[in-house]
Amino acid sequence: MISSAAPQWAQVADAPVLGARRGLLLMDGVDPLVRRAQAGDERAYHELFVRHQKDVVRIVYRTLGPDADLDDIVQEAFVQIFRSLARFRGDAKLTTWIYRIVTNVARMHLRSRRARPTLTSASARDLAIADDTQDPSEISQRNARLRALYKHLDLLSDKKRTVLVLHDFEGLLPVEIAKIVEAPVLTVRTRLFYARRELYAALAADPELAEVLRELGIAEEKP
Amino acid sequence: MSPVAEQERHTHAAKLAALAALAAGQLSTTGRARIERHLASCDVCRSTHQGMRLHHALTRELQQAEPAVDFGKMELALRREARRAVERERAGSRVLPRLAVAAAILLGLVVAQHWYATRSPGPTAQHAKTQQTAGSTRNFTNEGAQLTAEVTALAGHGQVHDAAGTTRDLTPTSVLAEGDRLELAAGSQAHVRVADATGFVVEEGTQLGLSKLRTNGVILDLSGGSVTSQVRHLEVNQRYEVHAGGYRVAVRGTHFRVSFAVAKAQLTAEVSEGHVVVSDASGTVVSDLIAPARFAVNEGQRAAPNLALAAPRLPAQPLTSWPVLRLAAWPEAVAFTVDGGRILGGAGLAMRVPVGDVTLRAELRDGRTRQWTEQVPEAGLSIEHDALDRLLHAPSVSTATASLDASSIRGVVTAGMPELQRCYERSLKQRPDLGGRFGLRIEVTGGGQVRRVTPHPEAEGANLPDDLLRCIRAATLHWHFPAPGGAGVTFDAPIRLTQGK
Repeated sequence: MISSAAPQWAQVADAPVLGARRGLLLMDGVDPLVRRAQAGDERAYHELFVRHQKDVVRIVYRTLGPDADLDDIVQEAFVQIFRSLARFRGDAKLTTWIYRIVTNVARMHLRSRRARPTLTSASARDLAIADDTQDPSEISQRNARLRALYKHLDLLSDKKRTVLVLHDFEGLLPVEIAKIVEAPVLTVRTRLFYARRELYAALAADPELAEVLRELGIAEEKP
Repeated sequence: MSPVAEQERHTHAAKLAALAALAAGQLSTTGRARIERHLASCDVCRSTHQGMRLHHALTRELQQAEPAVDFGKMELALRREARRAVERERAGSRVLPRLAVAAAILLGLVVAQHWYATRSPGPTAQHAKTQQTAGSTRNFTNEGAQLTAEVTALAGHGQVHDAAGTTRDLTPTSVLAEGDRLELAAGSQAHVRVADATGFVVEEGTQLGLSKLRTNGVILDLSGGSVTSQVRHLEVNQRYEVHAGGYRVAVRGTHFRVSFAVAKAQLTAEVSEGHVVVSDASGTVVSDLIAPARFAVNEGQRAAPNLALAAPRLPAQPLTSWPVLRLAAWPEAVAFTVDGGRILGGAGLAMRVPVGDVTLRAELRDGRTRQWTEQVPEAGLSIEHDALDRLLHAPSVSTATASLDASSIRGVVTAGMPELQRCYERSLKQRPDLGGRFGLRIEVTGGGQVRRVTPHPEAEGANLPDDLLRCIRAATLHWHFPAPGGAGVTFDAPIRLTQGK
């Protein structure tokens, strides 16, 4: 919702959004939008928000899973982006830099969530991704399966989890991930290997997930 | 024993690359047959392959999910954050180059020291860690997105000290953030909106820290002076507290004032509506106040039926596009009522108001009142001392009677019906049979603000579910009626709940 009190923000609400996520890392270069924001153009901040909001939501959702309080965390991520923008000097690509901030915000949230467990309403979260084209019971079942996945992801260390999310869920290359997590490419590959090995074993050993492949219509493996 | 450890007991670890190639259909017929033969006889590899397939299937599901986020909800906070960033940037660009160099060196030293102290991996993590350290009191958690508060009216003068150590003057366009500290000069008053239907009035001579300003809670740290809060109903995981003199005054949806007299080190809490709990530094509850009540350290608790607390000006919509109305300092005025808010007079006043006709009401020292209307253009309006002085000779407005015509009431109630509709729809989920007629008794102040909302004592509304009543109360408390004058008016609004087909 764009309030009538903010015409300058509303005008750019339909600004073009950069394309597929794979393309993001290639399309930035030195972004004039950042220069405008750094020069004190308030509208540039909103254009930045419009341009990257879907990316930020997607990274937060895929890092934290279906029970995350997306609205709050996405807002926090953009607050951090806005606050840090003055210090952005173009050493990394803008999207790499955004990925880094969002990943860190999500990771901080993950730590606080671990430190202080909270009750969440599954039904309320299920509604959050419902739209007219989706069957609510299907969404509910899917979220139950995804919760099972994140239950096991929660057992991975933060570093392994971040690499796995960025590689397997986001589809980034190890060289791109290395820039985001500020670690050597070889380290990224090592973390990914161990993250996958632990996760595969945990998923296979989970009796709750035994039915998942059948539910998804994927043929049973012949012994 | 973990599945991984169990797996490692076996003579070999699964070859993930080979299994991945199998899953992706990248093997030749011979290669595929060889791997499948191995899978048939190797429990470790079969289990790993099963886990891999599950991972792939669930990843596909995850990638198809389209999480919905209400970007509109964060729009205002982000716009304020953007403005603050721009203001910071402009302030920074004005610093002399020589000072900039010195500051850069100092900053470098601080950052280096902080880096060594925290050993945190990234700039955001460091920032968040700093926040956690700064707020390491028992109730200061780092969860919940940050809120920014907005000054809705300012009488007199005040200053804001932010967490970075800079100081700026308080203005009617000031945006406040977590960590800011307010100082109000003598004869001054500031109205601050924190969130929808929640805000506070900072009285003269008050020092108030915004220790926590987040969606899951607000903590105001009162060093001296007085702050009056109006808080809508809070969710289970939310809190609103005022800390002063080692005490905590915690609230769950109410209207209350906390004062702290530095000289006597005495805390006073007054509750005109709702319920607050006063506890000491150890967390022990020292007083449980149900309105109307007053508590003072060393004096204990007593009933206080005639409390008249200031109400913060809490417009329902963001004010950023509204022009500023300024009134010069005018010692003859005790208070002004402008656009539904009653603000301290005398020391000069500045506030954002809607474009168009704005009715102002001045309460004079001699007990008389003056009411007039100003046309506020988009560029804003300043009313000088001479113009205010001329009001002294204008005809007086009677304060003996108050009136509000039915069409004005109907207009405001009709405009507010969508909010009540949402309350009703929410309650229907709990009670699908909920319906019928009920009445709301609404008390409106002389300035047009809703003072109190209760179900009509003789209507079915007395049996409304608590959550519905709370929701309706929260919605109606920020309705604004045309100022009826005098002591205000009370009327009954009949409402009908009818279920759709």
